[in-house]
Amino acid sequence: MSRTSRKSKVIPKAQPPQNAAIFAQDLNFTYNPKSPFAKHALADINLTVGKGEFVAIVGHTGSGKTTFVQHLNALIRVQSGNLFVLEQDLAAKKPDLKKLRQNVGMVFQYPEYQLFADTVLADVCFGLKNFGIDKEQRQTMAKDALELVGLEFDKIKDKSPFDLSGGEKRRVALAGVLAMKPQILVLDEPTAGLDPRGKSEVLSLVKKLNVEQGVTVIMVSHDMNEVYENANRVIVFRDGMIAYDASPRELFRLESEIESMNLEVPAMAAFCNELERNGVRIPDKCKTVDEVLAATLWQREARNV
Amino acid sequence: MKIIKLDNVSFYYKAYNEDGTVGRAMGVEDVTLSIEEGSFVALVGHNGCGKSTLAKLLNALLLPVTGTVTVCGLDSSKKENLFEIRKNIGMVFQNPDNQMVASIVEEDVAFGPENLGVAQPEIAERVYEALDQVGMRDFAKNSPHKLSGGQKQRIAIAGALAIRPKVLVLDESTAMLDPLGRREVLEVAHKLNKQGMTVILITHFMEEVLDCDSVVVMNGGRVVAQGTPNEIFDNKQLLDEVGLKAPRTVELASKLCAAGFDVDAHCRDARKLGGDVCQELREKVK
Amino acid sequence: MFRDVTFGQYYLADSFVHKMDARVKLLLTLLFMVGIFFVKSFVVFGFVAVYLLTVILIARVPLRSVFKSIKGIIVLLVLTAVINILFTKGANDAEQPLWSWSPWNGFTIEIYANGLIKAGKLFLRLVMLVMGSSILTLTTTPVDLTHAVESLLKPLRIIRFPVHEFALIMSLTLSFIPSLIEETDRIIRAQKARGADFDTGGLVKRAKAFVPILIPLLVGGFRRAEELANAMNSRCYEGATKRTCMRVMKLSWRDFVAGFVAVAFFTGVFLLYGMAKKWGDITWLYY
Repeated sequence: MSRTSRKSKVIPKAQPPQNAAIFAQDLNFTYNPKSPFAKHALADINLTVGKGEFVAIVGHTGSGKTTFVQHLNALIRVQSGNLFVLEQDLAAKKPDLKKLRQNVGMVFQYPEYQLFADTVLADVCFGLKNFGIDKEQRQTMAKDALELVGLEFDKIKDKSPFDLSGGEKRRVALAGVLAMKPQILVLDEPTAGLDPRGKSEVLSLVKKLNVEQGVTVIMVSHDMNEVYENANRVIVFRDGMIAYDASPRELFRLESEIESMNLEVPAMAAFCNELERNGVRIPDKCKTVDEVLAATLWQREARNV
Repeated sequence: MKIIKLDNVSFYYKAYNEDGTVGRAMGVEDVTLSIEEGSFVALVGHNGCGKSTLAKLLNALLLPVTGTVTVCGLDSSKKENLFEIRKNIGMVFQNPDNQMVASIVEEDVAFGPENLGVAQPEIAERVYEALDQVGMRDFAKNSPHKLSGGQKQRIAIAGALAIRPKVLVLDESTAMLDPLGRREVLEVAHKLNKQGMTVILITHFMEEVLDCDSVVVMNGGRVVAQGTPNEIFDNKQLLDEVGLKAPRTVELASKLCAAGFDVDAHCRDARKLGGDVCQELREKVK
Repeated sequence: MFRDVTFGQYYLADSFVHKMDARVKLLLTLLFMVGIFFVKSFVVFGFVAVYLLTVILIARVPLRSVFKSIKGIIVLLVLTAVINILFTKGANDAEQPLWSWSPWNGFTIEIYANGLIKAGKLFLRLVMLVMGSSILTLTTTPVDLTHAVESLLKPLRIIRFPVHEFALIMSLTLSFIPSLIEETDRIIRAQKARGADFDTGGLVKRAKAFVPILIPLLVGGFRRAEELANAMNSRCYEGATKRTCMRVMKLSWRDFVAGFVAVAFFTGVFLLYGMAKKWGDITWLYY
């Protein structure tokens, strides 16, 4: 567990470590600099995310998390400090934006509000077309993406995206990003507004991409249960700084710190913490209800002997 | 006393079939339901199950195709009752930005009383009373759009309260908020309920359902179950069918209970549940 | 009193002018705008400039922000000045051009003193017009302006002009602008993230690039409109029939004082204008 502290400025440009998907060094960002409305949104962010990690980013509105994730595909340009994403130097004068954005898929909050084309197929192909993929290949890639999100290609491809149900719209919007086969997937509250079933569908899809295809996932979320069960690593933003950077189990052991930041302790973490305080150790990998249940039953078995 | 009564209510939306002819899409079908005055009722179900349609039937934004909706003894299908019904039902919707009519908080809250034709000095009285109830008096002169989501929804609640309704319907009002904002809104709703307001909470968050007096479960436009939160969360088969899940702590508690642990099967406090489990494990060792 | 204003150019201060009734400010601004067209001589322009500066001082708005509003019409200013200088002939046949140039036969550019004077007056008139109206917007919130417009248009109800609806539309627009800007911004970012390119290519290509922004914005607009309609109906909105209004606009001594001074001043301006017409030989009234 590391609590990042403020370091002195002006550090010679470092090279990103091998196998790093994201490498940020003293990243700073101020909105409206040099004006009375100047707002320091990011302060000395130092961070390395390895390829294939599932990182959850949490923190309150205004903590800098959205500003940070928008740096990752250069929607916000580096003001000061260094940022490398997939070996590309984003502090450079002219980074190759096309290549970057093709490899860093970005799913915004309520992505279904960005649908625009007259058919589902055309909407999913929008990104592919922009990145210069030829027509035939577009079709197959769109098909793969729509099937990946659990929609039947032939049934849905000619429908208007505006005629779909809310859950379907969200999945079409996701397919529009996934079609580009990004190596890094950035999601800003991907489950907001969905019902429980929709939530678990989206989450298991993201988890599947991470585990089976090795996609690096950066997920902004307010739902600590969701974070706890899915991420390998949690980064807490507070006042533009990284307050905590730890594995979910380690982080949520710090109950009083979490609560003082007005965040919730996930239910299963609270249960396991209470057991640990009483000397009953549940393995760190047990995070879902059924895993915790199994571990608890095993503890009872062990004592019965 | 039953403040709201629905008798065999059905409602259909107009929809176009594949061949272009006008057909109908189901909203709600054959719903019979009554709501006790002063109660706190949760309405749950997955997206498209008819919850929001039901909410709009309650204050005559939609009128039933068949059946009758009665609010405070008034039949919603009679045109002359419309105004009286809307006076009795305060409604707060999902997106806080889309229900603000003015760019200053106090003027937004005043919109309802102004529509009712309340005399000028009383409007200010109502506005400040409503803002006090949601704890937003200090923001009366602010512009709503700079507030947090939770604060905006509290303003929207104040806007409903200024009409002095008997029932407050929160139609997924917490869906777009962060946990802090949700807590703010729910605290206000429970406080109002304690003061005698009937509250109908439409939500996807099962944790919010725990503190309600009763839960109405909808699926495919129909009411499929109604009961206390414990009764609903005990019914695993029902939850699976409608695609809902009990909160994690409740699920764990009931599973531990089923596995022979002597714990409260409806425990909702994870820490307490952990403590109880530990005690039992310790006794085992002895 | 803190008023959180989100856009427009409102300058927060606690001055005599800020405290005035918005209706009076609006009317006096209109008076100013009309009055400035009755100013025919530089001397009177000087009087008006003093009047304007006094108001700015009383209003406690920085001169810089008043001048900033001129920036927006600078092209217009230069253009009208140039046209007036080039195309105005002498006041009478006797007047000789100050400067002339004939690049080829049959085409001569001549600049007369008369043209310079005319251009100068027009320039002053436009600048003062913009400065005068910017004092109104700097000291009055858009919300107050909406209320003022509604109140002043009330008499038009007799000819069935939908005054209330007109004001409601203004007010709704004001309250929706911030979230529409936010949404537009979000859509642009989202489409950019999918590789959309708004900065290169020819005109047609660029115009086409905006379709993925406009359609979601339009669809979102309809969605918002529907939700807003539901929210308004739920809060018992039934049109203007028996509506009351929380805000009462009350005239105070300030409004009477300011109104008296302004009316007196412009009565003077109108009188001078009349005198200049009648006695054309009083030259200081003319130049």
